[in-house]
Amino acid sequence: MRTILIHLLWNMLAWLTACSLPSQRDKANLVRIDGSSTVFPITEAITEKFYEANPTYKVVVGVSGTGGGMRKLLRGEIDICNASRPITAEERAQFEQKGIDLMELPIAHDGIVVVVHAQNKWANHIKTTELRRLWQTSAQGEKTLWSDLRAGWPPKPVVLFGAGPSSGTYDFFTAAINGRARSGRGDYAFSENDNILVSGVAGEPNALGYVGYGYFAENNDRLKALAVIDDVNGQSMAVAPSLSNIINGSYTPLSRLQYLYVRREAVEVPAVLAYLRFYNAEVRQMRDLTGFIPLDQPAYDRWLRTLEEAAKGR
Amino acid sequence: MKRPAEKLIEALLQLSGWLTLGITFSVIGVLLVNAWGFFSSIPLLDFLLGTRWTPFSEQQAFGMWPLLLGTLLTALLAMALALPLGLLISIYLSEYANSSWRQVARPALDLLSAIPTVVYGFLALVFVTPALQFFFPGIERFNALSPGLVMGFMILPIITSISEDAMRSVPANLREAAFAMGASRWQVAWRVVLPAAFNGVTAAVILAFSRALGETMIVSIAAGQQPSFTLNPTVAIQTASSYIIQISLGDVSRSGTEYNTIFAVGIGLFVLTFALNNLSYWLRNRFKQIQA
Amino acid sequence: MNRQFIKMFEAFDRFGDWYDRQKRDNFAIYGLVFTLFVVSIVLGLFVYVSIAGFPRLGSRFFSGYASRIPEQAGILPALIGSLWVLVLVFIISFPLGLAAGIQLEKYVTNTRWARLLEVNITNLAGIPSVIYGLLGLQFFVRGMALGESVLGASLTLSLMVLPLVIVSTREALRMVPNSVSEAAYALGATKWQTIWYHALPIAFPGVVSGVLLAISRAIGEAAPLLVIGAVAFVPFSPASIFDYFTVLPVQIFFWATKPQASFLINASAAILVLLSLTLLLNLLAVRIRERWHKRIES
Repeated sequence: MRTILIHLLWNMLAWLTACSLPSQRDKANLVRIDGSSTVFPITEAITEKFYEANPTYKVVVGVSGTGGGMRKLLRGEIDICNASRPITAEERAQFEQKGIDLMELPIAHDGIVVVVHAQNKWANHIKTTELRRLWQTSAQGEKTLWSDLRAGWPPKPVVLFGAGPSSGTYDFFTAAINGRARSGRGDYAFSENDNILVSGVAGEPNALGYVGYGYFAENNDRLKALAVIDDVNGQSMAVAPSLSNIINGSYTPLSRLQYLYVRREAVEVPAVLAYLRFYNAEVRQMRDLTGFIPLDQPAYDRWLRTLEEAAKGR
Repeated sequence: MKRPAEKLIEALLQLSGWLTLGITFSVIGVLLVNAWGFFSSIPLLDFLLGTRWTPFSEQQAFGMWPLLLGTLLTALLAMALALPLGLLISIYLSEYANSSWRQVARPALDLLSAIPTVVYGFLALVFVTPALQFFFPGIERFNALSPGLVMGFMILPIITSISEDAMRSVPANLREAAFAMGASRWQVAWRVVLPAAFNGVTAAVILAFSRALGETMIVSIAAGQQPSFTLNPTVAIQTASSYIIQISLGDVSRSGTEYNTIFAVGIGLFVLTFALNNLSYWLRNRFKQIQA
Repeated sequence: MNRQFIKMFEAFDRFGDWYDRQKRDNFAIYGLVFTLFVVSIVLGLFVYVSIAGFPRLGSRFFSGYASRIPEQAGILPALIGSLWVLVLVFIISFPLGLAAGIQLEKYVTNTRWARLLEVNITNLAGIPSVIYGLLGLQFFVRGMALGESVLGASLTLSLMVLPLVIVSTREALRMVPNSVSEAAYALGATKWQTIWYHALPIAFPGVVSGVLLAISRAIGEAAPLLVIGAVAFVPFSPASIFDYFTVLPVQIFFWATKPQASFLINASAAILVLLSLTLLLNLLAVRIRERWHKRIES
């Protein structure tokens, strides 16, 4: 019995080492992606198809939030960052300081949807002034009631769900609602993972949260979206977060673009180049992803050109 | 006469003995070094006395009480289930049950502790929380009660196995003396065996409590992510360990106060469980000495 | 004054007797009920998960990769990852734990030192798994630059289960009858020869049983791996120990946090697989230990 076990041990050790020696993180075949949870479903869908077509290439996708992804991109730990907000001036400076060239590739429209429980009977639309009242820094520490926001709403505490500090959605939402990015109250349930926010709001009658449009569209049977009246910017019409409203820009201030940020030098890796080409081809014609709002064709043509130029230039 | 090969082997053995100490020092070292970064920029009193934990909002607050209360609340709820149930079961198994029944029950209870904690967390979210919401409609989807109860089942085997061992090792003559004086089985169990096994049982309880404090997955899945200064079991809270997971899942920058919060929280958790574990160990040793 | 106290104590004592008398006859039933209750909860758990997850089990589930469509999402990468981790943890913790156990049980004679080491091991066993995750993050993933790899994860998990292996090695060695070692010494064997050729072969099944239990614990852990940086979407099985990976408990965690009810079915099915694996290891460990006990007793 003992000799059998010892033989087993040695064999396993030998096998593992043999497997490991040739491919120490086979760099040429690896694409490393991380970043926004909002962009994740798009990237995931395309990656699945890519993997079916090219099983020798390996793609890993993390969900650390746009901020987290940009940091990893800066450190060189990943090749592509999913971003649900444009790069900040601060980040741009950091990349310049390190001498890293970035390509900014817009891939989709998106809107941040303010969601409540599906059975919420009292709220159908919300003003941006009310949202600011709810999410601003000075609200921290006190449980805001629905009735504090608008007369006629029930005197129950609003259970808040929102994006986390590494999330691009967080940066964008706080900038749009509170006037400055990353400002606002911190005492709410947060996560970089929109799925957790959806679960939270869907299970709590007094909840209010904000998620990317894709997540709302995917779960519109258990969530209710509120139309937004952008009265901070002088609007008085309630605009619902629909596909057309997001594309034509009337859903303010919560409409935005989604991006991929890629290190220009990463294009030298064959897997990355192949992946990005595939991405461009797929994203134009993606029809089966709920909540995906494509850009117009010229936008995609533009970045395909940028990509090919970078590929030639190496 | 030792051959040189033997000397080499024995040196290697010594090394491995030292390794265990090395692990402890590494843990303490890693926690200290990074927590130092935290505590050198945040005043200790803020951490020890503050009642808000919002390291990432504009108004940063680094008070440890919300996380501490969350951790304690779930652990206490777990003990509320596990302590009475565990005691009763161990008394039953040690004083009443016949050996064939014991042979069935013991492995079944051990099985409870072998179940991975993700499974418990999943069941808490999918089964226990909806059930609780059915009976008590005011409970939020993420709350402390559901994971607390499930944790109680998870730590139950710790209490039953150690307590049962402690009770069964109470010398038979003590029992027999009591029986001879006309005591019933219950009186013997409750008045003679349990007090005699007190140290062992308390050690079991403390160990179970310490385990509940450090438990991560059940609360991460079912308790929510909202540090609140509350002992209300029906609302979402956050424990120290689930905070560490939440931040690890995102990516906070590698240095800086926000990143070091996970080590500050980690060191707090470590100190607490370390103290409790040592207390439990000391009690068990005293129990063994009393036995001898 | 004294008489008041005596009266109080007598009343209390009488209450205690009355209380005991109530308990006396009924406790056997209470105890049985409670124990049955707990045992049935265990069974109910298995039944629930089986019923919930059964529809998903099939060849597509076992051979499929991660996907956003629940019906197509499979556990192949997670299963292979778990097997890799299982093997690696076995390779790392078995020799280390065995060596440390032998050292502590047979070689350390200074009782103060022995006690210190024993306390140390008990402490290690009680450290929460997230803390091991933090250790692994700083030490292996960053310090040794192993990244979020199979090796980094396995090293971390091995450290976590090492105390279990050490404790079971010591207990196994203790079960060896003294007569065996003494006979060996009498014939002129050195300490190491006695251990390796005489005590250890007898204790071996006990050690193996402990290692199997440790491994079953290791493959069920998600917390330390999440701290190390388990990535959400890994659609391939690891090809080397330095490769990205995912394991069953981490996959279950990610599926459990998805709101679509369909993914919960996936999570249940994956739980069934994980539980089967864990149970298999546990049963094997228990079988080995029981047969070993019988042989020693004879």
